[in-house]
Amino acid sequence: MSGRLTIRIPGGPDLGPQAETLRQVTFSFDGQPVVGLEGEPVAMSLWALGYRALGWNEESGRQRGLYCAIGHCFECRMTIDGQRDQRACCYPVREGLAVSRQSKPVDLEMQDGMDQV
Amino acid sequence: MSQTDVLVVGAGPAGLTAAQELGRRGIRVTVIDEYPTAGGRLLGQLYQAGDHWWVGRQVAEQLLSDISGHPAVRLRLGTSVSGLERRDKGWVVEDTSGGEPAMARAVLLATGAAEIPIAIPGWTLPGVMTVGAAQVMANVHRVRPGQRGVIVGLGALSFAVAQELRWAGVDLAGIVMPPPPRNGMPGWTVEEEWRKMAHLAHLAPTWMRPLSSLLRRAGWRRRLLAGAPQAGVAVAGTRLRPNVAALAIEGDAAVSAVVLQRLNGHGNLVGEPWREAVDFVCTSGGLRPIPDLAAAAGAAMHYSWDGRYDVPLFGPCGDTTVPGLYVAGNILGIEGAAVAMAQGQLASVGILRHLLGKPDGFGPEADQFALQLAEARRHAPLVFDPAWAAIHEKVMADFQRETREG
Ligand SMILES: Cc1cc2nc3c(=O)[nH]c(=O)nc-3n(C[C@H](O)[C@H](O)[C@H](O)COP(=O)(O)OP(=O)(O)OC[C@H]3O[C@@H](n4cnc5c(N)ncnc54)[C@H](O)[C@@H]3O)c2cc1C
Ligand code: FES
Repeated sequence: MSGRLTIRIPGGPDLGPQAETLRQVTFSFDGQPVVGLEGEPVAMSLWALGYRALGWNEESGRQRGLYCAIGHCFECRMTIDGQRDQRACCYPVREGLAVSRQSKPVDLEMQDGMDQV
Repeated sequence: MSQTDVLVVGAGPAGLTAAQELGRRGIRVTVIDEYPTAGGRLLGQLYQAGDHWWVGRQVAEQLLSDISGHPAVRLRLGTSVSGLERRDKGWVVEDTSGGEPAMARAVLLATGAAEIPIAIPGWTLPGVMTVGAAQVMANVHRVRPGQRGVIVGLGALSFAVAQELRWAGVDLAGIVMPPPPRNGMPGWTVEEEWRKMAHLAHLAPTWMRPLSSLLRRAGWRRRLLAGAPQAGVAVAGTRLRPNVAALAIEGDAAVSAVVLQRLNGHGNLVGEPWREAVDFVCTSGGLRPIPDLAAAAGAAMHYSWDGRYDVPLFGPCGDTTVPGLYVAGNILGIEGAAVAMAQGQLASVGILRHLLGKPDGFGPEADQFALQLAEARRHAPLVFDPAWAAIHEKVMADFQRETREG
């Protein structure tokens, strides 16, 4: 489910891989160091590494992932660079960036009233 | 407070074209876009139009290189515009950067379109995405959306993206239909989805094109589509499966299968459902304009029952019913990028007229750009939704009436 693509169109322009033109950088995902391509959206680096769940729904507790990829749906919200609810599909990766998932089931269990939801 | 002549919201083909036209004349323009890269939906577009290739990214790069020759134009990327307020001499524009709001004498809204979700059980699982998201992943970022997917829903984008995924080497189980609505649910029907087929027939392989006149007739359409083999017919590098519906998407932490069932000629489910293994699902529910900022700024609007056709009333040069507020591109209705570019040119004329206080100025330019718009429509490689032509006529007539009365 993960990985990078090379797009070769029969008889058409060769889009080639993005990986050859962009620099590799290391950033952190839930505290673990991971590698992405500088400037690509956080959600793309994570997807290419096989991480699809970008967080958990605050009410249902179900896993959420990228849905529109262009900033419209907010399904990809994560805590990035210390700020909550950043759209991972629009946020460019850079060296040392800290990215983490929100509303993990363990965090949710500790909140008041969750048993009634 | 930063001061500029024109603030453009959206760096897609419409916004960039208008910025280039205005910048060429030395007008100070700031273009704001929330995405980190300029180009809007151009960035992912890739198809053969006649004997040449439309590579949207190259079109965007050309526009940006033209703009870089005009020092009066500035780009601000990674910033969302959150509000607009009219002051006596112009507009105060708020954004999410946390900085001071910008002041501009005129605003152009070129915010484009969004995709309409198809909600079937399991649609919130990671791995379910819009068909446009798969296009962005593959063509813009060269990231594999999965190993094998399925497209749910018919539309111009379903075919375009199926072909693009094929070029990217991603396997598809085909294009299937959304499930028929449960008893008494209003709105979508299988019949409606099938009716779209007739308008998309020009995308089909040559041997199928003669069928398009048959597909326009209800009886034939039912017989042909219900009689298609369960494995589908080869179209756009994949298989179109008009008589198969996706009932649900399954998976634990991410998508692992789609549940399918056969449809009969009346669009009802028949036989036993079965599972096919997929690790991603694309929904293609169609596109709708994003007119929110125009409505918030007080522009008179045309509303539709389901929001799909909500657009600001607009005039020939992208004028709205609010002085100094202009619109161009897919905010006016869903069409291709060449149309959006021509609308951007026309809006630049409207804006010049406003800034220079010459309501009848730039006649030859306006005529030339209107011709280019008509040309772009005539040569459009994709017709997204034939309903737009009639809506545009009504909206422009309403605009004339409103501005005459006002
Ligand atoms: C997912 C998708 C895929 C498409 N694929 C094709 C295709 O393959 N072929 C085709 O011909 N047409 C396609 N289209 C139609 C496409 O809309 C037009 O081709 C064309 O790009 C429209 O140009 P535009 O300038 O009006 O809008 P866009 O190209 O959509 O550009 C609008 C820009 O505005 C920005 N924006 C929106 N709101 C804000 C805000 N509040 N603040 C800051 N920035 C904002 C967006 O980030 C975006 O960059 C697609 C549309 C969508 C939605
Ligand atoms: S995936 Fe929709 S906003 Fe990021």
